[in-house]
Amino acid sequence: MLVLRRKINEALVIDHNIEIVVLGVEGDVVKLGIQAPKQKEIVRKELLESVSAENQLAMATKELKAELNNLLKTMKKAEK
Amino acid sequence: LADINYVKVVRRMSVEISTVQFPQGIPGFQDLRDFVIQKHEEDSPFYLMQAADNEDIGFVLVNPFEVFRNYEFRLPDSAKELLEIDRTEQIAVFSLVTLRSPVEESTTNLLAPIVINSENKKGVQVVLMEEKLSIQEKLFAPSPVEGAR
Repeated sequence: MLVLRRKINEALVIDHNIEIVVLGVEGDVVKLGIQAPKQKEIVRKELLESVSAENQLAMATKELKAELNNLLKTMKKAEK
Repeated sequence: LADINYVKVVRRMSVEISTVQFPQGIPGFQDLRDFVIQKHEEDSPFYLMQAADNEDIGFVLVNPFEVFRNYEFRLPDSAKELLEIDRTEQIAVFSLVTLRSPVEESTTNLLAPIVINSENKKGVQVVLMEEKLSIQEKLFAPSPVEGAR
């Protein structure tokens, strides 16, 4: 991993069109500003990891249809 | 592209989705690109999403707008670009359901919806920048105030 030291208001440029600037540091929190082309997706890594973990949980295998039918019955009951 | 800001109330979605290509896979399953989406049953709000190349991997989806009347989000430009979306009518939205035991505890992922361009059949699971939305929203809300029916 490339490690660089930056001061407040100093920036990095990745691939000519992605700019990351250090806006401030408060205790253990670093505030970053990111300017990137709009087609670039920017996501907090821990959120992506949570979604990935939830997707693993959501994976439904062979009992899928039976479980789903149970769920439907429950929903119909709830509507009544 | 600037015209599409908020995605809300996509109640009437094309059911004829068939095979959808996810250019980036979905988080945790990046190797799987093609999924077959079909309606679970007539009158069911659920859909099944099956990996085309792996019959052991399948998911349950729900149309979130049918369950959560107030659900809306801002579709990021990155998703619009990836899916080549330029009109609202092209957009179909699904949420992944996590079946739990007992089933009453089942949840759905409102933070990271599956967004599909129903014309070119491209899809992506978008991780939204909306802090109010939950990855584990209960399908059966304890109180009707929560927005579930």
